[in-house]
Amino acid sequence: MEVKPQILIVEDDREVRETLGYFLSAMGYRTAGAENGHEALELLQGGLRPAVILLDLMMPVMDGWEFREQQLGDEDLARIPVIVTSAMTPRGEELLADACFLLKPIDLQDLLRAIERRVRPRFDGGAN
Amino acid sequence: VAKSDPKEVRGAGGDDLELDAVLAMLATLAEIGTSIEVGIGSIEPASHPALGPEAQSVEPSRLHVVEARYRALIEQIPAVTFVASLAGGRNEIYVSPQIEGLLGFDQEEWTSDPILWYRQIHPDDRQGLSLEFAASCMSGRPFKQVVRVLTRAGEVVWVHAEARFVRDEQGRLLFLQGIGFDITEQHRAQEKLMQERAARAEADRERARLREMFTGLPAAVSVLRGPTYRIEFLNPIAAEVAGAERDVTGEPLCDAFPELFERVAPVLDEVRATGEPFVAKEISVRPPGQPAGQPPGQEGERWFHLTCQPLHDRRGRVDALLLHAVDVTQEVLARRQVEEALQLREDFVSVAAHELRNPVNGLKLAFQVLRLHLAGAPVGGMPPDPTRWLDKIDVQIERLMRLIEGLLDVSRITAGRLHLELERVDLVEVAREVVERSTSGMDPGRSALRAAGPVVGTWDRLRLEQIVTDLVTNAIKYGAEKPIEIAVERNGQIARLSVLDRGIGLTPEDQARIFQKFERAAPLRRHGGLGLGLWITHQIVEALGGRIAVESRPGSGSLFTVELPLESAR
Repeated sequence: MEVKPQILIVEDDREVRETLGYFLSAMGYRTAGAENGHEALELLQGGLRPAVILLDLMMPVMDGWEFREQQLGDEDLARIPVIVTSAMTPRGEELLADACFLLKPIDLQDLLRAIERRVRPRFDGGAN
Repeated sequence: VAKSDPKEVRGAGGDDLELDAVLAMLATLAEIGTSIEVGIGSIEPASHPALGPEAQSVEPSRLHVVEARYRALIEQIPAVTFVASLAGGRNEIYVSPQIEGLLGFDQEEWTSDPILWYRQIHPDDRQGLSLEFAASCMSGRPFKQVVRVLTRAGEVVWVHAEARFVRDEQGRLLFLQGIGFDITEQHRAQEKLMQERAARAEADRERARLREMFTGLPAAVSVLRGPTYRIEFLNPIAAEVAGAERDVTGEPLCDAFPELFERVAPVLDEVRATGEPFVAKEISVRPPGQPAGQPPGQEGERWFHLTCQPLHDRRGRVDALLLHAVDVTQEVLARRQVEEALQLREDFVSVAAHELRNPVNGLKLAFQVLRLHLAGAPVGGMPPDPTRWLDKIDVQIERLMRLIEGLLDVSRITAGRLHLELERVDLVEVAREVVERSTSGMDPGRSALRAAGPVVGTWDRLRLEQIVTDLVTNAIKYGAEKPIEIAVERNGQIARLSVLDRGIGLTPEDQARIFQKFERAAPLRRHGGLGLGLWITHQIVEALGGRIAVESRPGSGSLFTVELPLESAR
């Protein structure tokens, strides 16, 4: 049986994290959750290699911007596509430039399409 | 008679010797001239018995010689001489021909009309002349008067007139002999001099007034003269602004205020070179010694509207500069406050929108999953569980309501409409409930409530809950997952609630801000929220007649203390 790609959900709102996890599992993805950027970074440094990272921006301990900075600073982690989800239009475009952005409230169909575009390699070999 | 030279006139008018000589001459002439035809005006012995037999006994040939001599003299002196009878009839019996040059009437006209002389006296001077004449008549002393006389053409001529009375041996008045000097030029010169003096005095007064005005002006004013910008004038405000510690008037600007000179020299040079005024708004001035480049609003920083105006000499060249600076510090600070308030409001709206989006996001996600279940769509083969999603919807609605309540509280408090439902409440009980609710699902070791016994007072139960909830949730939020301690105690008539965390803590600056509206100590990126919690709590505490305080150190945590009187003031 095909092993479904894994999605890392970085989101401090437990309710939201759980709902997204439930939905994506129901859609056949494997999911992992992190409460903030720091936790996510620990998971990645521990060897987790998700197909896509869903990243909230405003989080305690380590916010989305800082996580992105750390991620882009690591050649290996920088390759993982990121979908930013936030309730406010993000600033710090240089960090988020090549990330997809979804404004909250999130439409699950939009989310699904955004994830699918990133997990299915196209024929030209690009990840996006 | 030509208009006489003022100098000569001054000599003649001021020097009695000369006058005496002329008068003596006239007297002689009068004495001998009884039978003489003096030009057109003749002195007729018959009409002047007073001239007496002596005069008549003079030999005609000798008389002619004398007459010619005196006549030449009289007609050459720069004055009009006259002899007037005091015995009625024709008033003037002789006038020298200079009368024509002086007033434009010839001798004949002048002597033939007995009151012509009086008509030609300036109306305003007639009374003075009459009084003086009367006084002279009474006392017998010589008559002296300056009068204005009108020429035939109506022009005013200033005449200094002097006359003496000639009497017979019995002392009876015979006639008046006199001389009139044209002192118009002298008078005009004097008038001009007086006008100049008056103008100078007025200019001096004007300067003094201006100086006084500049001195008292609620602005810094300074005049800098010449290429070295010598300080010609510096009003007290300018001296204070520039930091003058002594009188620097007369000193070049670079010596008096080297630091200031460095800053303004380019401006001064340009105004001097171009003659164009320089105007700059809100120039920041820091006290001497305070380095530039510090953040705005530093202690002692002031702002000025500065004008540098060129002052020109008579040839139109810039020879001085007028520096004028108006202190607009209050205006700048007030505007900044308004700008800050507006920015705060703008930020708040943006934050509020964001904060409202979060529960809406949760709602929408739960709804979408629920919809999938209700549509009977296979959700990854998981069993449908509508209740779970309805619960999640409930939680998000609660969050949304709390946010809306918070916003309404702001509006209520701002409008002064915070209503309190006072009742008997045990603060310990309220605290216990809030702590239980807030820490449900957390490690039980993470919070501890300490209380010796009930602490009952008259408060608004819901508002009290709000206070405790705000402080406890803040302690959890910013407590870095470390244990928090809540204590309730009673001290006399005061109930004290304290909430201690060992989290990120607050800087002294943040401690001063956190109770204000829309302020947050923690960065927005890390911690959401409206930035209203502590402000609302502060307002409620104050409404209950209490006070709230914080002690904190960055990295060590914070201790919030609320003190409430048991019997609230309201």
